[in-house]
Amino acid sequence: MVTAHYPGMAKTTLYKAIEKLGIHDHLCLIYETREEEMEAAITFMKLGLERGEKCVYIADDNDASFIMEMFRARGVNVEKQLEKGALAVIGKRDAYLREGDFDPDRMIDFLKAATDSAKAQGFKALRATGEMTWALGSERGVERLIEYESKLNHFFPHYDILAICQYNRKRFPPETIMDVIRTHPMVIHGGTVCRNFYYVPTDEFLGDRNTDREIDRMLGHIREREEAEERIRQSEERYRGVLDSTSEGFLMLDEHGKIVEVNDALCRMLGRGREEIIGKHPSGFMDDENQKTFAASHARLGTAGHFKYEVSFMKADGGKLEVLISASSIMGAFGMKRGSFALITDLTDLKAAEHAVRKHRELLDSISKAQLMYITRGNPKETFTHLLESALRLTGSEYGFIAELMYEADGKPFLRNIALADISNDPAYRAFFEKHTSEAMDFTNLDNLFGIAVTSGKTVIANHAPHDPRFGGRQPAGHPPIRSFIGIPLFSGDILEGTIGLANHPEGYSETVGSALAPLVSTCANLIETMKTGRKLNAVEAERDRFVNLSVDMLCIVGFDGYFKRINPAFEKTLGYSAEELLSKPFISFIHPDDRESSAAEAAKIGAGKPVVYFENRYICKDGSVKWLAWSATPFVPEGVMYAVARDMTEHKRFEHEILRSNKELEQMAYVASHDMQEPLRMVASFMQLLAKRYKGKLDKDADEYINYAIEGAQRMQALIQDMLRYSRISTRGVQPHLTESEKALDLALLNLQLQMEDTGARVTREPLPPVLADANQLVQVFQNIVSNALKFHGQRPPEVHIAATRCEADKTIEFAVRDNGIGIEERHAERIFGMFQRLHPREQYEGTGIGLAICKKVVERHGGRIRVESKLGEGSTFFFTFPCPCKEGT
Amino acid sequence: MTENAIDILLVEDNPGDVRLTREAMKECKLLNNLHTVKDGEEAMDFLLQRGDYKDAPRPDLILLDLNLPRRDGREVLGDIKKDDRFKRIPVVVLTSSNEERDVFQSYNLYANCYITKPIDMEKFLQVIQSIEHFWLSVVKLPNGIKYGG
Repeated sequence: MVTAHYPGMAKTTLYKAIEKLGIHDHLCLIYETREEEMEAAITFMKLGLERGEKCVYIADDNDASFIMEMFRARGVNVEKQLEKGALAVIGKRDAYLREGDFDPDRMIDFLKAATDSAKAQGFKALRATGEMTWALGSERGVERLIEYESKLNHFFPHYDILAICQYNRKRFPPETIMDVIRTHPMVIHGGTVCRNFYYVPTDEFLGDRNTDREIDRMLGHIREREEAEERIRQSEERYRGVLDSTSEGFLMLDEHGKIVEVNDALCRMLGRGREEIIGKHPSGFMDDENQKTFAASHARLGTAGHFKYEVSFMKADGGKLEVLISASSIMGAFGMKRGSFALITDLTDLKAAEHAVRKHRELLDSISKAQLMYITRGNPKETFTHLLESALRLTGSEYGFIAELMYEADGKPFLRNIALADISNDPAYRAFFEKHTSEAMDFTNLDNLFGIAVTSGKTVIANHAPHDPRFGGRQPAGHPPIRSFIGIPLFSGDILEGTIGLANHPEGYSETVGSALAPLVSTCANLIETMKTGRKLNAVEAERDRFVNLSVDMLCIVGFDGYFKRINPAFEKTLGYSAEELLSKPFISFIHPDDRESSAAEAAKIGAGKPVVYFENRYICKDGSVKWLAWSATPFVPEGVMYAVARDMTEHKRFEHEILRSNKELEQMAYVASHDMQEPLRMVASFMQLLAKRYKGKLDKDADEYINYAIEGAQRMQALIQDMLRYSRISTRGVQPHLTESEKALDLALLNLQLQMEDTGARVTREPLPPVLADANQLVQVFQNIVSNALKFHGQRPPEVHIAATRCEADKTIEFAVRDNGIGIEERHAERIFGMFQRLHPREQYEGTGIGLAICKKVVERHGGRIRVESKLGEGSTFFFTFPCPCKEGT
Repeated sequence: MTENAIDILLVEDNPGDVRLTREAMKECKLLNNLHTVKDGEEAMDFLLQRGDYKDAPRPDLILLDLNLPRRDGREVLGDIKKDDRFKRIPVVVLTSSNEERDVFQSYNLYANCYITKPIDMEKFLQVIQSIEHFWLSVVKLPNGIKYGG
């Protein structure tokens, strides 16, 4: 503990003793030098000031100014203390010789008054010290000094006062000094505060000498002293015991730094006998470097009191003993160091543990660095080289390799070198490693030292590699010699991923090397596995990328921020912009102005998490042309993007438009043709009829027959043209399909066929028919044509027609079935009958142009449906046709 | 031409139909003068007594085909019905078209009736005769038509 009074210095033993003094104490200071005198007196005063006591210094031998300087030197603010009245430095004439001569009782009265006054001023006590040199003079009454000193012992116990009387040993006569000693209960001498064995109580001292009592006192003192010494001996023994039994080392040095005490523990540590150590300097057991450390630390101890430092001793066997020294100085009087002692802790185990921890930490650091390296930079070579170099450093190896276990197509294993490292710094081999680090090296032959770890799955150690029977094979040219080798298999879980090989540890390898490297080894294995997975993923990714790049459809990822995030090459090809251009502007800016609003609305829908199945808009290409794109997109909300596919529909649109136009043209043509053909045909027919009317029987029989054929032909032609018109009108006159009651459509059809039904005696039955989406008139036509056929082709039996319907959930349609018991159709004609003007029977047998089913087919197909027939010749036919189900629209 | 006969103007480009109409007219009870023109231009010339038709009579009935060369029948119909002098003359649209659109349009232009030429010759004859009968015997038309103008 450093005190404020002696900045940077420890408390001396004297200081501590004076600190223990208290009120009523009466001491004498027997001094020989002024330093000795000041040390005790000023310390005494200063402690008084600190305790709130009134301090009076009665100077004589020393100037008041010198005294005050001494106070200042010890950190006392003299002016402040004087002003407060706490400190007073006075002379003999203010005290002992106030009235010119000295009188013990007057002086005591003066002290009593001063004590009372100090107390009245709020001080706790009066603390006084006096330089007694005045008593060497020839003042009157000076012969009563000893009487005074003795009388003080009566007065002090009753007053709040304490004092030190300063006597110069050399200047006072020995008789006086002896009396002084006998009149003070305590003595300060040689920097020590002592209980005074030779003190004689006042009454005895001033009264008659009582020899008996003196003897008692002397015997008491002798005994006390012996007892005290015994206590000390016992205490020493105890300490000795503690010191010798502790595992900590103990040293005590004298003021010259020589060893005066050492305990058994330290002797054991050093491997030296006590006699070897005592009397030597500790640095005698140290090398140069440690001597310096020791000297510097010892010097610091001088000022700090306590100091801890690490140092190495040399043991008797030449080994090193690393220790922690915890030293304390032993302070003598006046802050002089009297010596020091030190506790010494053996750090060998601690250092070893520390070393192991450091190595382990290095290992873990290297692993985490490798993992980070792999993750952030994805450079396997760099990562494995780093791991390998760490392994080399940690094991003290010169060079090594890490290899991945791979398989040929035929399943034959081989090792592919993924890292090669050399930390031996041997320039001869540098070139070899540099050459081989830059190129892949495969080892197909595993029947050697390097392959065993893989083939056996166990760690292999060869500490005399060149003579090892397993060595096998030859090294590549320029390969550094291998003296010792350890090969460790790399397992990721149960899967063998490769091997790590380390070579040329100067002392060879042991199994512990393998276990110490375990975390690094498993990291290598895991990273190889990760690398393999990565390769697979890369392959999958590359495959996907190839598809994406190959696609003629435009594939993209679009951010909800309105920008393309990724686009495939089809974008550039289709639109003519570079990828940079497309990625740099909001996609909406590439869209045709007329389509922007609808596109934005569609994008908003996707942004809200709804996929869009089909959406068309126009993009403006770089060359200004317009491209129709059909989009399909699905959002991925967590990432704020949508995945979209677009197909260039421009050609398709043009084609569609073309087809529409050409269809329209064809229909127009059919209409015009049939319409305009009517006129001449009507002429032929009309005039033939007129001819027949006016000239029948007037020409010959042949003429009449010719005329008949001509009329018939013309009439048939008229029927064909009428049918063609009807056919073409299915699309030109058709209306948008709407909710239609099938039942009503059938009713209407049957009404139209009523005459025919009556003529044939037909029976038409039906099941409940659900509503459909259809052009009602056309649905009537379909029913009518099919039922009409059933009535027409009925054979011998009267026709029986049954109409049913089933719902087809798969494509949301209603399938109608019209079954008859008619003549049936041969399987091979099942397709043909739906063709235009296709007939299976001669006109004489069944009339009609053959347009009915063609019209049905066209109507059904116009509604997105199918029509077919199932039939057995002679047994009847069933016609199936579908119309969209209204539920498809949600109605 | 018979003096007191009814004047019928047939606007028809097809000579066959002209002949058939004429044949039908032959069997009619009423005395009639059937005047024929081949297209719309001629029809207007006839009515306005222009060019070759300076002495053309004002017709009592007009049988008008729609599809005509040069000036279309629809235009002729429009012109007639817009003209105060001719608008009261009954115009029978007689055409081979049975297009809804044509029927609609004709009545919009104030055609007096619309008849699709029957394909069958016998029916055609009947139709012509019934037109004549209806418009010239049954229907009461404003005075002065015949001689007015």
